[in-house]
Amino acid sequence: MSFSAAIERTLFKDKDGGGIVVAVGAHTPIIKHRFLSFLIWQSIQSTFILLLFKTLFLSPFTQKPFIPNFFSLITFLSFHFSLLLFSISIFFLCSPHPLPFASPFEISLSFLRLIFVSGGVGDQNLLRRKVRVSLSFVLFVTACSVVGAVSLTCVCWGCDAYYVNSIGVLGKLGFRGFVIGLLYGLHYVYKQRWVLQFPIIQRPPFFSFKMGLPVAVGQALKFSVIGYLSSGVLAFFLPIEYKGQGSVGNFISEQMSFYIGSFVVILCWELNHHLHQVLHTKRFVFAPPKGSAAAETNPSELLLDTLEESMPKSLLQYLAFLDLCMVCESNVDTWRRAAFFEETGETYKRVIAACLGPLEQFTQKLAEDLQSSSPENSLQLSYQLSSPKERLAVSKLYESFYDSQLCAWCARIVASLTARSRKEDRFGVAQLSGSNAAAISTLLSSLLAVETLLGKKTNIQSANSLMGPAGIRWATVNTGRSESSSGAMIRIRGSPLYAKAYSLADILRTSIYCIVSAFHNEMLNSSNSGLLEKDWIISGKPLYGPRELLVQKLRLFLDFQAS
Amino acid sequence: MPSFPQPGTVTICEINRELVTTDHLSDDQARDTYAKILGTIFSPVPFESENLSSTIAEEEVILQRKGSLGFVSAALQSLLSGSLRPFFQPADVKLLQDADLHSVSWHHHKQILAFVSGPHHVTICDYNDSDGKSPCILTNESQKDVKVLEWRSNGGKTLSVACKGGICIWAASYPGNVASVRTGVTSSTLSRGSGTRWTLVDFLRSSDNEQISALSWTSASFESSSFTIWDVAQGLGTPIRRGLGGISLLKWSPSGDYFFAAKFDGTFYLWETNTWTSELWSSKNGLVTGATWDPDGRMILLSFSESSALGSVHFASRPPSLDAHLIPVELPEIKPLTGSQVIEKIAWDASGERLAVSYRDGDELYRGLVAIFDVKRTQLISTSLIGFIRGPGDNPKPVAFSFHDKFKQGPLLSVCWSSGFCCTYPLLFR
Repeated sequence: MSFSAAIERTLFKDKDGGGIVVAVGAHTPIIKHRFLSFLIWQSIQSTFILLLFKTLFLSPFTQKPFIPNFFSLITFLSFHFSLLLFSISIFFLCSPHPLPFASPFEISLSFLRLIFVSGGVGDQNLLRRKVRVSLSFVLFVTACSVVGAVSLTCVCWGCDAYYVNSIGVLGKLGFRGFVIGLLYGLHYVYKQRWVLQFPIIQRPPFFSFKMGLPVAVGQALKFSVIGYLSSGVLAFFLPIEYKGQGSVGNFISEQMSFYIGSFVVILCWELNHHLHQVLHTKRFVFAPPKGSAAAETNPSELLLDTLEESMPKSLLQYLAFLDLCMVCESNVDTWRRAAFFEETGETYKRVIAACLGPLEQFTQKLAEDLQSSSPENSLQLSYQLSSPKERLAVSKLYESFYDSQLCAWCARIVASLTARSRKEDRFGVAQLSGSNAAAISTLLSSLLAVETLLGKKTNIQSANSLMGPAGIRWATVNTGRSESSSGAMIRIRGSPLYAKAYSLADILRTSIYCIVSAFHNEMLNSSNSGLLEKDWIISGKPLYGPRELLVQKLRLFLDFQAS
Repeated sequence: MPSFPQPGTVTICEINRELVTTDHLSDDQARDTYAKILGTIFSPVPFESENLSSTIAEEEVILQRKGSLGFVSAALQSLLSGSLRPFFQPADVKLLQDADLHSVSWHHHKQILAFVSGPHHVTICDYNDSDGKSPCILTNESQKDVKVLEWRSNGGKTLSVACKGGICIWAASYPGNVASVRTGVTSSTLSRGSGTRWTLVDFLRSSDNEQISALSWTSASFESSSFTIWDVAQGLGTPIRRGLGGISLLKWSPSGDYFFAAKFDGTFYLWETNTWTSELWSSKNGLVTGATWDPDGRMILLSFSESSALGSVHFASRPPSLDAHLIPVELPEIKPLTGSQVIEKIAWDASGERLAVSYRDGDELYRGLVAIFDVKRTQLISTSLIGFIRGPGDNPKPVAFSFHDKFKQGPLLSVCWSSGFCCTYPLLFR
């Protein structure tokens, strides 16, 4: 394999979905295209910032500011190369969802196990992936530090205070840049800024970028102050002779030019990161152009192929789900949605299967984690965790929520398709294929699982206390309050996990309400004639919770009482 | 011949284009007239109206003082708050009273009515609940200066209340089925009243502690020129800014494809929600005081502060295109009959058949009434006046009114009157 092909494979491996060839329309892979445009735009933007700051702020500190020479060309090019390295690193690290990584403790433990214990294949794959993720973190932080050293040197070297051919001065400058880069890289990894955050609404990239500018400037100011102070403190302890200490004025101008230089560099990094997020979370339309031959014969092929055959949970698959979500919810390009309801019903079944897949996986994993984490006693997941066993349980729960963005989209897609099928499904494919029942059952199971995690327990009511529109009589005095801790209840109030679970529960609830509102009359009639179960819940065993509980929950929804 | 209620009488309902009135406010006449058809009586809900009007007066006084100090006070404020906002703040809050404050709202599926009954509280009345017809009052320490409220579609029984500093989200709780609350929200404050309990489940905090003035499942403040689109599940908001004026009105179209935002400077924007691009319109007839979409989301009806004619903006093609034409809709009977020159608020029911209009001033006899029109939506809109609705009490004026979206037997109009009653009028003609 040639060098460039190897580089390409490493960079795009997890994002491009396994090299799906975009058959219709553009022949170049989407992610690669976006990456190249990102590199081009970031170089334009950083050139602009560098020139602006050098002209406005650094020129007072420079003897001959506006006369270009070979030296300044070298520094300019090096600055750009270092930013290129930074951009490639953030692209390499980015992922649409958080990734599990191995802590140093885990790595050493597994290493010991490898040496001293033979066999034990088990979790090898998972461990390997985790170690790879940790390694990529380490590589990223290293790259950041190197980039920091190089770019800061390039920016500040032109200034008078640093325009001395002294290794000591340059070394100190490089060291301080290294420290700043290291701190930035550590912060980036720790705060999970490498996770791509998909925006709530889609806007033209210019406006999305514009919105993030003030935030980026603020962050850059904050970082540069912290970086300046910490690198200054550390550099103080360096055993490097600092010649030419000279006057206080010289010292002040040196410090000021360093601060401005560090601000420029960090601002470029922040804007790069922001540009990267904006470009990679933009919607891509997986459809042939309207009016073309492909649009007449096979409009959904590209989208379905991407959903089904791309690597699971890759960026490409995420983009496909985003596109599908926007097609189902809005009324733009209704011909694409109409194509799902085609006569044979195959397309609709494929779409629903593709969407229910992630939800089912999520529910199953959550159900397993809930069951395994507390058989007898109730755990208290606060920040003062006591035993490693509890910590493992917590981390497993966190991991099950890594795909919450995908699950949210899938819930919304399934709900809007089912709701719209009432008016737009001319051939009745939604109902005949049993997709409606499957959709409602999966959504209800997921909601029950998430609500159990939130501490809200719904018990099955006895048969003679059926719901009515008025006069609800509750046969069992079920506590139902979120503070109760009976049975397998896990209290996670106050942790970030609670916020994620709350938001997913809200989305699942609104999705079910969407379907219930659309089919309200039909469901009420079924309920009154005792056919609600048969029509709207699958006949097999549900993913979570007994069947009666699902029916009871559906009745709550019918009455608009589920909250 | 349009029905006209004599002074001193109170309207009950409409039956086939005739507005039935009675001499005094009671449930008996309602029982005789429509209870058999609908199966329920919508009794008027009393509330303390003096609080509402006094707040309005107070605000006007404060703002006038502010206007005279002007630049100095703005400078001081910016120093204290550390932001440049006061400099750019449009000082036209008094115009807020002209703009439509949507402070009464029906739940989309059930017969539950919510309205602003005081400066800091909201009243909910559940007409379904035969156990307790007494209304619930919702209060919370975070809920101050309530201006607007709206039920959440696809949210079960979730109500959003716009107040100072953010939006309160309330949800209904039942025994055995308590609503989940987001962390960090004090769920200790509940409601007064029997029956269903209402819990505050979330508080969406807006930046800079602004007063939220418009709500339509997005929110905007009259102080800033941007509106915020909230993702209620995550509790995150995305601000969208266009132009410099403060925002007075926000309305999302029923299909979700378009969005309307009106500003205090007489301009309004039509947004398409696919990629959030917009088109700027400006009106020669003052600022937009009321806006309401048609059931299909293809057309919006607007009322202006200096005109007695309405305007309708029709979209020429499918979303996300923003090509539209403005066509005036005359209400010819208003001026000669009532003597009023200006339409104040409008509301249109979800089936598109009834339009309620309130107007400013007018003759002695016609003052403070709500006019009901029959609307036909063939190519263009045509209206014909059915009659007027008079509220109970002395010199009542309609403060806010709104229709129930999906009542099967016909449109249900609720009006909050300045005399302290929120009355509901079934319009039965099907």
